[in-house]
Amino acid sequence: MDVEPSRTVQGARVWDHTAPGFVALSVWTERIAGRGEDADPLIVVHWPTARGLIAVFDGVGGAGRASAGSTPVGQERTQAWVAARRLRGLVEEWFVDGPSVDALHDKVVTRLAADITVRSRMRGRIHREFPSTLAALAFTMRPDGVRWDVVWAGDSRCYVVEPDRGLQQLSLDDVDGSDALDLLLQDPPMTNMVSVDREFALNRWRGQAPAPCVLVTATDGFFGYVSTPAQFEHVLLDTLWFARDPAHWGELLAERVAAYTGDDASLAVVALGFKGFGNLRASFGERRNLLRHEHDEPLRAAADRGEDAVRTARSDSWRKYRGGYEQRLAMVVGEDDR
Amino acid sequence: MSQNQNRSGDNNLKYAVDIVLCVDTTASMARMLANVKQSAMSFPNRLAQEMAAKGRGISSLRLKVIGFRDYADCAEDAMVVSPFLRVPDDLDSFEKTVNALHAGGGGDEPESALEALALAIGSDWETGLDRRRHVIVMFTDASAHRLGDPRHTSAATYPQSVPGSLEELYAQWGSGQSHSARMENPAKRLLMFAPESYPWTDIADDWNNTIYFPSVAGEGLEEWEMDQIIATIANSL
Repeated sequence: MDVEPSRTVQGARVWDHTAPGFVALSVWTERIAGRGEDADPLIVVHWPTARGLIAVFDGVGGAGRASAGSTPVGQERTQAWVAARRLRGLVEEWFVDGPSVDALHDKVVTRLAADITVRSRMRGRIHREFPSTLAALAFTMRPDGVRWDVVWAGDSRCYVVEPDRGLQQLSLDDVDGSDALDLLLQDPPMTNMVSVDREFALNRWRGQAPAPCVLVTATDGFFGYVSTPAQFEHVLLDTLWFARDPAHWGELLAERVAAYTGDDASLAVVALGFKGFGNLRASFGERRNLLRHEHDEPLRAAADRGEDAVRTARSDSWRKYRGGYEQRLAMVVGEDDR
Repeated sequence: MSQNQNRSGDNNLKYAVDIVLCVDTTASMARMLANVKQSAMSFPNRLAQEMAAKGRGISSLRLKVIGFRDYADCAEDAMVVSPFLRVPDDLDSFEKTVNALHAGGGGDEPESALEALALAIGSDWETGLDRRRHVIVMFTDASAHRLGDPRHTSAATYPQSVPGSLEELYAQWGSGQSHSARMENPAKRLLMFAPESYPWTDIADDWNNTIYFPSVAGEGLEEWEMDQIIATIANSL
């Protein structure tokens, strides 16, 4: 189901919703007007069961640039563009219909490219038909916290952010290698993503955290063009710090990401267990200051001293940041019962 | 400090791009070669424009050309290899290198394309900059001789660095966590404009980071327009 954005700013779209103990926000931007291959971020909640889902979808243009056809007004759409949007619909339907990840996999296999007969002659290990990433976080709100099932394919990511522990990655990119700073610098090709012409895996992992906390899903346009992994958290919390309300936070995020990204970028956020937006902002004030002093300011100072200094500052930042950022990845095989 | 001022850590990582063009220069490639020559001078700018349109800047662009024919037909002119030429500084040299290629010879199929691919893999790729991309583009309308054939390897001009089998060449290309690879796994790309014959279909299926544009055997590569080829290279980065 499509929902009208609450704000549209220079082509970016922002949605927000607030309820007691609940703040939801999503942001969508495109690098080239009219050609954005990310689908709109998805946020759905079923209040009677206290279940919800946030998800993002990045149509992979590098793997699926072939045309899937044209719109009624003659605008050509790539397979990647179509795949991300159809996948969004299938994930929303999956949330409503039933919880089995296998059922979602079956839906995607049978329906992602249904009724589209266009096929490219292009082949090779990079190429895919109707390729898209998926990063989805299905959650259940409880009085003492939140439990989640993370489902992903590709290099879009799921995170949890806790006021005292900061940003923690919950999904492992489907690429060769796992060092987040290396991945940032190398941008390697994906080894797995949703598509219709070959087998793909929907990775899954279950975890939980005490309330209050923030759940995040994002495409690589948000986290893949910053200097260090810490910088993405700084972008999230620094914009939160200056925001008047959820929609304004979304506006600031859209403005900030447009200034640094080289890709389409989308993000979905739910903040659970905070006593309103002011409490959410205040809860992360100390963490934002830490990021600013220990990571952002040293990088800024290094930028004036040349590339070698920037590399050293990046490595220093990652060395200090990595333990907290990866603390839940050590348990990615199995269940995080924290 | 206003949030608008606090952007110094933002990255704007740029791409250091090395491209090796492996061009079949046997007689049947005359029309394609003319197309490549015609596009050579504008190739770097068009690539940069494609990259800019995708929001990706190039911090370094180097091009290298390998023209190949057939060691079984005439070993003396079977391979022409340029050094990496930095663009825009060495644009004139790049133009001269491409213009010096001429279509002719080669005898019957197959050709010595795997030797060209081996030399491309062994190139002195950029190692120092962030977000490196090491791209090999193969243009051929023919199948390739198997490596290790003594009738070819005995030629005085045969490159000693070429491995003795496709399996050894695959090891040099490397898989995800391979230690014998000469290519950096995150950086490498192999684009093949080639017919559906040995070894191109096998390489497309088995080697990682490949994109394969199959042509109909015997009908050349005319169906692939240079604009499409350049867009594909940019998109693969």
